[in-house]
Amino acid sequence: MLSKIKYLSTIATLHIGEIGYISEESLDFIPLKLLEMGCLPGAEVVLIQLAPLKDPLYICVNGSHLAIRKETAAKIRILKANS
Amino acid sequence: MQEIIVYFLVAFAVAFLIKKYVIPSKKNKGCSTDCGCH
Amino acid sequence: MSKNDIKVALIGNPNTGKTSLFNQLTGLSQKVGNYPGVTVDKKEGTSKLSATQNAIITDLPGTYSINPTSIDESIVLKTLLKKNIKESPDVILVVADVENLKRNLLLFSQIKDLEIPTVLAINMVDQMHRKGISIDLSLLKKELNTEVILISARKNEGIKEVKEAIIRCHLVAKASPLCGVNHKIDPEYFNTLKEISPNYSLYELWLMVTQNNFPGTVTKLEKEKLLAFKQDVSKLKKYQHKETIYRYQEINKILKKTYIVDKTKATDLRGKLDKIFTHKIFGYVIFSLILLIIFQSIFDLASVPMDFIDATFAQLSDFAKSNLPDGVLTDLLTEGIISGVGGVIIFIPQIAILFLFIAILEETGYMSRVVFLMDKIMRRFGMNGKSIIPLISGTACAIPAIMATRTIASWKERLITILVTPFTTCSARLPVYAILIALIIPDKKILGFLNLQGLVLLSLYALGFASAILAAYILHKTLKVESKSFFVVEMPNYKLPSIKNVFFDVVEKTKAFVFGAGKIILALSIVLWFLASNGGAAYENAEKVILENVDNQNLNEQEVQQKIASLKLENSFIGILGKSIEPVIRPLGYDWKIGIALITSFAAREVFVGTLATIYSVEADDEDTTTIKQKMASEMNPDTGKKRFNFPVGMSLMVFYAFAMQCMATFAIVKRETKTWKWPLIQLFGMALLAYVASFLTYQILS
Repeated sequence: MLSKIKYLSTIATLHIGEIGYISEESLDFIPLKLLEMGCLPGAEVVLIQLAPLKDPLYICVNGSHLAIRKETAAKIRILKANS
Repeated sequence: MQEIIVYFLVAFAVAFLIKKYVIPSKKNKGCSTDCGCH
Repeated sequence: MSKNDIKVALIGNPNTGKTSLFNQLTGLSQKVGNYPGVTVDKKEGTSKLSATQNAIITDLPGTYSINPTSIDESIVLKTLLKKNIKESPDVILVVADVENLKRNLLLFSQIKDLEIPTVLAINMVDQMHRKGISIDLSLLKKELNTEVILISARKNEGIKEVKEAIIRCHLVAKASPLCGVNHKIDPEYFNTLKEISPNYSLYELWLMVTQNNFPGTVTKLEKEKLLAFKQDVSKLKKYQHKETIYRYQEINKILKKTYIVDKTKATDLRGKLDKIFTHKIFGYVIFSLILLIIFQSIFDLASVPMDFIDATFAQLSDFAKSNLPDGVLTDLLTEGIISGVGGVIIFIPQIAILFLFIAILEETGYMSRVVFLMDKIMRRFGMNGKSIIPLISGTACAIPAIMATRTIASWKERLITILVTPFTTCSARLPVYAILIALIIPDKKILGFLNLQGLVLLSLYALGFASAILAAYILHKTLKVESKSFFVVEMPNYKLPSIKNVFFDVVEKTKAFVFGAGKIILALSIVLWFLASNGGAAYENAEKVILENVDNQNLNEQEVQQKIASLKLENSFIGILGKSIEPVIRPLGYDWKIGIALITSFAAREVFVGTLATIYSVEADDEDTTTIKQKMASEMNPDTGKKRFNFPVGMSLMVFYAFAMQCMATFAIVKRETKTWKWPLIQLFGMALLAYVASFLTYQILS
């Protein structure tokens, strides 16, 4: 059975409907407020919608539905499940 | 008699406006950075 | 209010139905007051907890964490750290929403760590079934070591139990912390911190250090020690991060045992609706349609009550005039006070209707989607997606609109929004536009169905909005203001608007206009009346002069009176003022009579029309615009021998008012919100200059 290949991307590179998991290294780059809203390392992130020009991003992270700007999303690295 | 009341009302209106505009608020200074935030 | 009343602070995430709960608990007793030293208004009400016990409930702004990122949110911190017996709450009532319980518990855990008696109300439980959620309530209570009540504020369920819980909670002297997180992060660091003072809980001390917020009761020595902890900033940040992670670990542990979601039962209404409302193209189309509906409705619905109010005040004025003894006071009452008050009241229908629409959009959750759609565009102009709300509100009245900027976290974005909102065409400009358009724009249709007059009005609105955006762009590029841009907006679940909430919201915003602007407009009306009814020698002699000449002309009694009134006005203090600015405004096509109206409209723009009515010798209580129109239409310019209000002058005036400096009430609110003279003055002179140049060009080019 092929093992899942996981590679590093950021929230900004997610496609609509795609799921990722916030990586541990991102901790320093996640603003405190986002952390408080549930954007924690290990948490599941899914992209729900993109505004025109891909900014802002409408995501669901750890059960919270939020909109964040691309510049913030680009700093948060994730692990994508890819098979 | 009427005159007195009128002058009083006008003076009151002027005093109100002065209080609102001229007297500086004794409270916080101007916020040039986000207040209470990081 | 008695000493026995329990002071309750209502706290919770936004979109948890906190407002519904507040309304259920306090009903009509709620009122908005002032926090001392802060611009945010305090919402308070009384609630009858039991036959013998009342509570004073303070509704604090919604926040996701005690750590604030905007002015709104900093209120929560300030209130909780106050430790001033008079101000600080006895019991904290935390509202959480059943669907987002995990995130809501972060704030709850922070509150618990403050060691103030706390009650947790989990709201919207009527939705639990639909979302497939089930909660082990007794275990949750035990794990959280707190009173937990399941409620549905909308359906008025669980409210009684909340009241009882508050009473029980109040009897507990001190609560114990929930997470006690800090020890796990760095025991040595936090033990040292705790030792600084026995009077505060560890978390309170930690907050003082991280937020630089010290309650009045902290001693100088204690403060010094606390400040020493602030030296290592990166350490503080790291520890805050760790604290948050740790809190969530604890919360997850607890929820695993007590909170279950069966996803198969959940319906995803939100997802389906969002596909449409946030669609790249349809999202904007729908938003534009909604805006169109709103503005059309305002025009259609508002005119009936407005006419009614207009007529009522005119009758009131007549009544007063005929029933009160002749004299100065009666004049002040009828011409100054009644017309001043009427001038404020007449805008209530328009303003209330716009705020009604906005409140409904906010209650349903749609507004967050608008913010999402508009953020990128707004950023180009130095503003924030959230700025769209003040900009739209500004078409009713700039005052509540500017107050709505408090949720914008970044100071620069907030400042720019405050400065440009007055450019949007507020309700007060409409009477000015209406009469000028009626005067100079022919009433015909182009392309068979588009009303020309309507088109001109629409373009004036567009001009207002365009100048707001352009001004924002210029400010964005030129203002050197320190600020961090930050944007995290929750997309709440869609829900049907609650009539109660919408009602209270509209009443609150309308009151802001009526009392905020109203007092100023009234005071200015009184002062202006005085200046218009008194003057030097020429003023006193006016009556004599007219009567001496009256035999030369065949005038009836009424016309004589009007001529006297006109001459008196010319020589009153205000008339003198108008004449003195005439040289400055002549290049714009105006004369001193218009000059007077320009000055008086400083109080409130719509005063322009009323002043013109007086100047052109129309009967003071006859506000029939046809008469004013006729008078203005026939007014001659003595220099050119042609009409005074011709096309170039009319256009010049409309352009002037599109850009003109903000009314005095708006000036006051900008001063209050920016806490300095600097910005409102810059705004004043900037807009005045722009208005002058624009109307100058308009007049010169058109004539």
